[in-house]
Amino acid sequence: MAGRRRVPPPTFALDRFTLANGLRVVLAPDRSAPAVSVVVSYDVGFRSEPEGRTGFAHLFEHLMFDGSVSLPRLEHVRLVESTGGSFNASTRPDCTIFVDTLPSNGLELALFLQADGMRGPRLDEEALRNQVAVVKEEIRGNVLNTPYGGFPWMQLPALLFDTFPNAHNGYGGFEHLEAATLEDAAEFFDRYYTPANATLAAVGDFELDDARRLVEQHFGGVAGRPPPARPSWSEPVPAGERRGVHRDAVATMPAVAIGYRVPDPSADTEAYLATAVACAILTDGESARLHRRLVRSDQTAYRVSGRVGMFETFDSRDPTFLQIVVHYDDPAALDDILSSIDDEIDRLANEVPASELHDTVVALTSDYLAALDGFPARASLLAVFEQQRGDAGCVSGIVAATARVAEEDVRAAVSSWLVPGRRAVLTVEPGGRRS
Amino acid sequence: MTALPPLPPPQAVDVPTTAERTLASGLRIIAAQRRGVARTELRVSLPIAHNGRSSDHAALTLLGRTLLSGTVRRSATEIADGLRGMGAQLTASSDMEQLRLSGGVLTRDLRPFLELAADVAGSPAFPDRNVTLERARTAQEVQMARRRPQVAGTAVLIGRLYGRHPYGRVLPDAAAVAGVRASTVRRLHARAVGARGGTVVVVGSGTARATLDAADEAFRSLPVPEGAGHFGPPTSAPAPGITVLDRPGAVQTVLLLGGPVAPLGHPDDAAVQVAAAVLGGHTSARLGANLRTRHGFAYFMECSIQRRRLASQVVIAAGVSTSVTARALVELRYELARLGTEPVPPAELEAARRHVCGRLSLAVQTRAGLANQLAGLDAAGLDAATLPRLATAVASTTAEDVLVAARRYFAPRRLVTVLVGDATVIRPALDGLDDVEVLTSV
Repeated sequence: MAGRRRVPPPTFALDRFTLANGLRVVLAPDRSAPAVSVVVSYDVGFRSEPEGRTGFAHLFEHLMFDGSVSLPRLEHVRLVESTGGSFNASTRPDCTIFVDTLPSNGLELALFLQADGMRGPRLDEEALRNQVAVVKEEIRGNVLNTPYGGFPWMQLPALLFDTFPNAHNGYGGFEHLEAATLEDAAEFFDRYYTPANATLAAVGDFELDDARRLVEQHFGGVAGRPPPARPSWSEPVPAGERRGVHRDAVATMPAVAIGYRVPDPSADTEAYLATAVACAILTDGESARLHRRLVRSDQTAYRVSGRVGMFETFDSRDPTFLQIVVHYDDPAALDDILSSIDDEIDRLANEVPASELHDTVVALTSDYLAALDGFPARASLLAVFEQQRGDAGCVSGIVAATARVAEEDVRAAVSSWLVPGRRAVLTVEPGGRRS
Repeated sequence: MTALPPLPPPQAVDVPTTAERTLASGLRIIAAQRRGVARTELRVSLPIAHNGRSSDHAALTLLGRTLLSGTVRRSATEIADGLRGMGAQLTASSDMEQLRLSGGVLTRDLRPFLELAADVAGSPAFPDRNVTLERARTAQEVQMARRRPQVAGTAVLIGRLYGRHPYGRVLPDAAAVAGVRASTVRRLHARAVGARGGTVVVVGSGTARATLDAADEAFRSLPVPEGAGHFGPPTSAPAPGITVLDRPGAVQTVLLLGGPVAPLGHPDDAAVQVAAAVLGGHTSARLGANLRTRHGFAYFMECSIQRRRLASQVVIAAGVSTSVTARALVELRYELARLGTEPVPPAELEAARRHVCGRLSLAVQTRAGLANQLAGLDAAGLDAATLPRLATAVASTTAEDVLVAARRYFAPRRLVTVLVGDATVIRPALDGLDDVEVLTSV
C-alpha cells in the first residue's frame, strides 16, 4: 500500500506571448518523441450560437477547414494525412478546438494550415450543403441510431438550465441546420474567429526559437479584428428538483442521469476541484461509493459513472454541472436508486476518511497525467487554460490545487451543491425491443 | 501572406531499444523506456490452452471480466482500493485464445503495481458471489451491445468470415453468460491460463533495464498451466452476396465489408497497408472523398486492419442515410474495384506511403501507444525492429504492388458484405445488385 505521498505536479517548460493582432500563443517543447501537435482554440461554442440556429457552432467547425483562403476543399486534411498525421476538431459549450498532429518536421506545415484557416474559410454553397448533409449523418449515427445516443449531454442541460445559451442542445435541430446560410457563416466567422479571440498552443519536438519565428511568420500577418464581447451566461441554480423523461427509441433498458450545478470552474477553482474530488469518490471506478452501493450491495444497477463538466473537467466556463449516470434493469428500481444516492451523498457530507480522500486525489492526478502524455491532449488543455483562465500554467497548477483539497472542502462542496432540491433527474424511457 | 511550405520528408520510425528476457516458466518480458510524465504502462497477454469448444465461450468471456474480483490473498475491494491508492488503472479481458491485462501506474509505485497484476493474473479466486454478480452485469451488457448497429453487424460479418471456427464468434450468448458457474471459470483458469507462451510488455519513464527487472521479480512465480495445445488457424471462405441484418425503423444503415488479409510480417503486408491507406478510413482518402465530401452520404467511415493471433482481416465500415443505402454500397464497391483495376496515380501513391510511415512513427509516440505496438508485434511473433523494416517496405511499394494486393485482398467479390438497416426500405434497391439474405437477429 502506497504511503501518504503527494504526486509532484508535471513540469512543462512554457513560453507564452501575444502577437500584435491579439493571438495568444503557448509553446511547450517536449523532445521525448518525434511528433508535434498544433492546436487553435477559438473562444466560441454552443453557448454563442443564435436562437433559431442551434447546432451552428458545430456546423461552422465543419466548414472552417473545408477550404480556406489559399487551399481548396479537403486540402488541409489531405496535406496533414499525407504526413501520417491527423486533423481533428471539436465543438464544446465554450470553445471550438482544431488539432493537427504530425511528425515533428511538420511543425511549419501545421502552423501554415492553421493560419490559413484563421484568414478565412472558403465559404461556398456546395461546401455548406455538403457539410449540412454530413452533420445530419453524424447525428443520425451518433444519436438517433444508437442506444443512449447523446445521453445525457444533449438532454440534461434542457432540464437543469432555463436560458437558451445553456439549455439548448449543441448538435442542433435538423430544421435549424438546413436553414443555415452563407451569410450566417460569414458573420459568425467575422465575429468570433478573430486572432484576438483565439489561442494557439504547440507541443512537441521543436526548438523554442524556431517555433517562435515560425509562429510570427505565419500568424503575424493575419489581420486583427476586435474580439467579441463575451456575455455572462450565468443563471440561478434551480429552486426545486426537476424531473424529466427522455424517450430513446433504440435503447432497451432504462437509465437515469442526475445533474447538479457546481461552482464556477475559473472564479472558484478550489470549490470546483473539491466538487470534482467528491464526484470521483462517488463514481470513479470499482472503489467508488456509488459503485459499491448500487452495483455490489443493493444490486439495483449494473453501471455507474460520473463526471464534472459536459465533456471534460476543464473545458467549460460557468455555469456547468456534475452528472451521475446510472444504467439499470428494472424500471421500478428508480426510487431505490435515487434514495441510495442521496444516502451516500449524505454520508459524504458528514465524513470523508483521510485515506479515501488521499487515494482519490492520487487516482485523479494519475488519470490526468496519463491524458497529458499525448501531445494533442496536452496542447488542447494548454490552449483552453490560457483562453479561459489566462494562464496555461494551470496545467501544472491544477495538480497542486487538487492535492490541497481538504476534507472540509469536499464536505462543504457536497452539502452546498449536491442537494436533492436543486437537481435535475432525467430518466431514459426505452422504446427498443429486447433481443 | 505566407506560402504553403513543402511537405516535410518522411521521418524514421523511432522505436527505443528494448530489454527482453524469457523466464524459466516460458514467460517473455519486454521493457522499454519513454521519457515524459512519470508513468509506466503494462500490457500482459497470456495464451489460453483450449480447443475452442463453443460451450466454453461464455465462461472464457467471464474469466477476464471477473479476474479482478478477488485473489487467494486479496478481496475485490482490496484490489480496487490498492489500485486507486497507487494511481493505477488495470483492466482484464479474455476471449477464446488469450487473457489480457492492460493498465498503467505512477512509476514510483511500479513494483507494488506489478506485484498486484501478477497476483490477479496467476492466483485469481473467482469468488462465487462476485462471479454471480458479474455474470448478470455482463449478460446485460451483451444485450445492450447487440443493440448497437456496428457491434451487431460486425458479429454477423465475423461469423460469415470465419464460420464455425472460434474466431467466428464475437459476442457470447447472453443467456449462456447468465448461467456460467464460478467453478467452471476457476477450472478453466487453473487448467489453461499461465506463463508459458505469455508476454509482459512494460514501457515506463525509468530505464528499460530497471523496468525489466521489476517485471521479472513480479511475474517470476506466475504458474505454468497443465493444459497445452490450442485450436488451429481458420480456413476462411467468405460467403458472397449481401446479408441484411434487419433493424426496423433505422434512420441509418451501417455498411460493413470485410475479408482476410496478409498478416503482419507477410511479404504482402506493406502493399496491403498502402492499398488500405489509398482506400482509407481517414477523411482525405478515396472513401472519404467519395462518400463524405462528394456525396454527403456519410459522416463516419473507417477501413481498419484487425489482427488476431492466427489471422488478420480488413473491415470497411460506414454509416449512411437509409435512403441512399444502395447508392452508397455501389460507390463503395466501385472504389474497391477501381483499386484493383487502375494503377494509383504517383502523387496519390506517395501520399498514401507517407501516411502509413508517418502513422507508424506517431503510433509509438506515447508510452501507451508504444506498449500496444510492442504487444501487437510480439503476438505475431515479431519484434520492435519490424516497424522500421515495415516503413522501408512501405516506402518502396509500387503502384503495381498495390494493384496486385488490391486484386488479392480487396476485390468486392472476395469480401463479405453486411448491411444493418431497415430491410423493408433498403432491400428493393439491393435486389438488383446481388443475392440478398435478410436476418432478423444476430
